[in-house]
Amino acid sequence: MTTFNWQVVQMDRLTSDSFVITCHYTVNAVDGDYTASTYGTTSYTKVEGETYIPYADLTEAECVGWVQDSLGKDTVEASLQAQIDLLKNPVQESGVPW
Amino acid sequence: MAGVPYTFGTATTSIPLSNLDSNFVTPVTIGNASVALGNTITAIGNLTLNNVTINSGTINASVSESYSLANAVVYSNSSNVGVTNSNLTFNGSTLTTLNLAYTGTFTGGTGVIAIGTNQIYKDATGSVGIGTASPITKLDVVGNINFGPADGSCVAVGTTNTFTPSGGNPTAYYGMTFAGFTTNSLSFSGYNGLAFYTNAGLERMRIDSSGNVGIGTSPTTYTGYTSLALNNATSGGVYDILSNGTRVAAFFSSNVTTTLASITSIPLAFRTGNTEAMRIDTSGNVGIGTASLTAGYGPLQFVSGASGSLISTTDAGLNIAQYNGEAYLISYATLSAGGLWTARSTSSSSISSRVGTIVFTTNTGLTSGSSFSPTERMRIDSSGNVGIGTSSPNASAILDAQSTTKGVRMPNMTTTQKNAISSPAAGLMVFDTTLAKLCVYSGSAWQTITSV
Repeated sequence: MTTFNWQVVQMDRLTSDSFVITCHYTVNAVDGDYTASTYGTTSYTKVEGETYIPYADLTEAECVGWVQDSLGKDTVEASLQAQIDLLKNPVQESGVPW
Repeated sequence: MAGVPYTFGTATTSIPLSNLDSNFVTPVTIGNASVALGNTITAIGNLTLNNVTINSGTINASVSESYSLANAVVYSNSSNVGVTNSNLTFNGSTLTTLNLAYTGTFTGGTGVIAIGTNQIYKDATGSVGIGTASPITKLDVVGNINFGPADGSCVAVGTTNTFTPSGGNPTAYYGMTFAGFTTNSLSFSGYNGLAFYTNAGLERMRIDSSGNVGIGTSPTTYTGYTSLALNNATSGGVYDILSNGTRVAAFFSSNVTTTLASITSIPLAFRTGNTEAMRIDTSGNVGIGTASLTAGYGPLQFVSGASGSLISTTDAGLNIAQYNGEAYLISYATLSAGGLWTARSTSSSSISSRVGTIVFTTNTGLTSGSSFSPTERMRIDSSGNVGIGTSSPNASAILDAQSTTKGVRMPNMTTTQKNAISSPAAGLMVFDTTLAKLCVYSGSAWQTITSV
């Protein structure tokens, strides 16, 4: 059973109103001794008229939710699961015959 | 005295150990004593010195002998000062173990520590060399460094070990430099890939176990390919090329446009087989097969002397060609460099410009892929004379139509339709179907050619 740990490890925000424009995320997948991970960024654009959660009130869970909505939680986790499956059952190997 | 155990308790005077002869094999313990070793003692058995001060002298080890110095201080002279140049020497060919069983702090002077030849070395300034007796930095290691459990001969960093930067605070992320020297390369090895971090512990670049590289993102994977992926949350990635610090070229993509850019005012060239096949000059003109574009020749130029089809649709429905200095606009056929025409349909046509003459050809009954010579139907010569059925319209005729099987037919219309022509020009000719007569306008009235 693979467990997935989503984290937002850093955010970039506007100095004018602290609107978050970028989330830096990592997702770590662990299945026993096998691990896989991914990292990247998602961006956000301010829409005039919309109301936003004040920066000071943001939680990691909320920001992780943004990232998951942007990337597709199932898509990312399926990709990591595929990497772990390949680690468990590799389809290629390296080496030299001498 | 042999065989009698001797214990020297608290002593206030020096004991001349030189008086102990070689037969003194019984273990001797000297406790809480200030011992002045006089002459060299070469052959005592087991000797334990507890809480003693040795002011001078030399202890020589022999076979099967061991010495234990517990809480001992060794001075070079009896005044207990002047440790400079003091010497403590353990001699003996069988001294295989030196056990300094201290639990406090190992201290000493500022002199050199040299263990082994080019093995472990500390110079007088505090620089330490491992594998060298000439450290050029505070820590100079000649050889591989192994952190954590080693699974090979390479440099390895264990899961719980880190390189600690200057200042001793790993969380401060001070800069750190690894450098390969002269012909030796610098290698980093990670069995399952490498990850690189910058400020705040953010992963910025990763090389996966297959060699794919991701910057700003985990590497993308394509079976059979090695990938380089660049990601930015706002726009994407930029592959930038600089020349001596000046940005000269870039390949980047925003959310709406992918751009291959020559940043400075230099042409953009494309190669196939490492030979230039196309270029875009600084004016935006495109050259295909030529690196020499001429101003005023148009935005798309081909190599000088090229012949055959230059531009064509995939089905050759439209084909622009050049041959022997003649230009062709061809429909459903191609023209090769050797002047060979190849049908792409059951019919084809072309308009060509041949040194001032415009030639129109049509062809029918072709087989797709067959070779043929275009059949001329009409031309406009350089004088503006039009020839139909002749490649040499008469100089006196603005329109020269020739055939041995067909004639020239005038417009057919009724008398009413003829009379409805507004402002007919003198010489205008029609065939009046009501009268069944060929009629010509005289300039003032329609006249019939009565013999017809």
